[in-house]
Amino acid sequence: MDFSRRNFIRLAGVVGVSGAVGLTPLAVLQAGVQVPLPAILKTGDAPRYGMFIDLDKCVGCNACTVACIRENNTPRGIGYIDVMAMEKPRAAYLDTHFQPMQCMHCEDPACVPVCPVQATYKRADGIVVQDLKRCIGCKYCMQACPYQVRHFNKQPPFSHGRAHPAGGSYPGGVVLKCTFCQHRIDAGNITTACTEACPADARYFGDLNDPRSDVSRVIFERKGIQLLPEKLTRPQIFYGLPKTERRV
Amino acid sequence: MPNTETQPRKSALIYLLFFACLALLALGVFSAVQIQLKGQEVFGSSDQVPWNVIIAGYVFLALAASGLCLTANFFELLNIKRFQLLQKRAHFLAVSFLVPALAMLAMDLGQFTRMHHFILYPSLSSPLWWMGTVYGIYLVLLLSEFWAIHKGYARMAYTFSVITLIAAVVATSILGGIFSVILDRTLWFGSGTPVWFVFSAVISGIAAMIFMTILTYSLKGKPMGEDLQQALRELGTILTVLLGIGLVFTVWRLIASVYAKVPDTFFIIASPYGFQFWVLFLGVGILVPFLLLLTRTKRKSSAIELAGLLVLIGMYVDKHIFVLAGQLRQSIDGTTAAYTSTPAEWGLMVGTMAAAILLYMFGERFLSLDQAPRHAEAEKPKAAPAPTDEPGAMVVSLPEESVARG
Repeated sequence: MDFSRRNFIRLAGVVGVSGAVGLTPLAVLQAGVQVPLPAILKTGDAPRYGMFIDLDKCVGCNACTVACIRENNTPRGIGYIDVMAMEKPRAAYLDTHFQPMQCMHCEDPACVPVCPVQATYKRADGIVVQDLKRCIGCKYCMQACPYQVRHFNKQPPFSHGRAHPAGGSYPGGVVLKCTFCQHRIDAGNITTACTEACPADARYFGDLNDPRSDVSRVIFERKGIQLLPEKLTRPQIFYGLPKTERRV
Repeated sequence: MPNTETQPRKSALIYLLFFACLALLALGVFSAVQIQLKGQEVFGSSDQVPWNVIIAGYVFLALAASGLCLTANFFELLNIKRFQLLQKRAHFLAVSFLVPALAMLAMDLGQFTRMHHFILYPSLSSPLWWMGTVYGIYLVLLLSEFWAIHKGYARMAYTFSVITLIAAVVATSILGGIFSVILDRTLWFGSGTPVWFVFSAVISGIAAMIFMTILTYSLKGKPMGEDLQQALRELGTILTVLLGIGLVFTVWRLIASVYAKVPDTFFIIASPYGFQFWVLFLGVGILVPFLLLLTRTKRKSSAIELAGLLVLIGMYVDKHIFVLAGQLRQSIDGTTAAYTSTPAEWGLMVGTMAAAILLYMFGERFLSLDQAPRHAEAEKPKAAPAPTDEPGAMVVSLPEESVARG
């Protein structure tokens, strides 16, 4: 083997560069610094709120449903969250899991363009809101929403219902829906009552435009999916599918 | 001249109809008050099936109103004299259908006192906003055209008839557009819906024109002029052709949906709307009148009248099935929702129909609906006939006969 000076320097260079490339990530991780995730969810620099629900963790306890009703003080018979039991019959058993449903705060919502009086609209931070003082109760938005997560308040139109968390009271004869706890976010508290209440930590809420946020990270890691993608609404609630089948 | 022996019986029949309609109107008002006091708890609609039978009733009445005006104006533009005999009655019938229908729709809104939001916060992307706006404009045009016909301003009536014809087509197709843009409702979605709405508006309009005209004359015991009879027979022939086309359209729409396995189609052809579809819509509403008109139109006006009534029933059943069956399937989990109509919904519906009939009786009583526009201009507008004590006993003047003979 020719150990000339030129060859020695070449070999040393190759080994040195390879070592540096190979060991750098390890060094970074050992130092506790997280690698930024690819910004697959990012659409801009301003905050855009979204949620991840891990169906593998959800036990169907309805703590989120109760927390939502308490937080929003919703009218009688109305809850913004519906925890559905999804059952898939197999040959010898029933595969089941729970799927909480609420307004998906879609990026391209079907409910917004159909409202005849602009009572439902999308805020800059991605939250789809319902103006209860403007709604005429035509229910066209309920028809357009493919997720069927809007609710009609059947109370009389001239009645004064329960107090709304953002002030005033719930009028009868209007459409209601999940607001991502808009009143909390407006007050600077960036979390929702359902996320706080979940005992299984199945829910993550935060800024989808921030690749370092918990919600972005968990959507990336758990390969979060959106419901009914064929409806082209691009929901901002992502679901993590159950890893294993649950036999019932 | 009417038979003097049968005249009191006819008047009694008109009185009976008048008081029955008043009673039903009272029921409608009671239902409306109940809705406002108790809220929509009295409705059978739910979050899964948000639109109820009232929407089906509104669609039927609005389409019939558009169809009446659309057909009458079309004949006016073609300048067919015989059909001009029906023009004034058709327009007033359209007004009689549309005004109560809009009031009924307002009662179905959760907050009808906020209807001014249509003006304050317009949303140009919403078909519902366009429907409300265009139907509002259409109603004003319709009233203006009727006023011009009533006053005998033939040229103004002609100009209005062009504009109102366009407004009627636009309003009808936008009403179909409300349903056709909802991607999630497979039975509603697609460009075929607005086209079918315009087509079924014409069918309903002609059927209403035939039925109400013959019924009015027979209730009043008044003989029809030869020209008017000829016009009605020709309308019957047109209706036969339209029913044939409607039958072909319906059958092919069904075949295409069954081939594509559109789930909602099976709600129509099987449960829960199979009986309504096969028997009430296809049988009673299309096939029976089709055969009736094919075989007996030449002689008997009662056959044409019956055919008109059956077509109207069929057209309502079509809208009933369309609106309700379209909402049953829940796309998120594939389940089927249930809907049962309630007495409050039917009370409001029946009251609205009664209001439409009462409004028409008022027009028949005070606005001489037999008057033809050209004739009126030629002879200068005549004063409305002096009211008598009987609500249905009209002053028998047959200007259409003089037009026909002239």
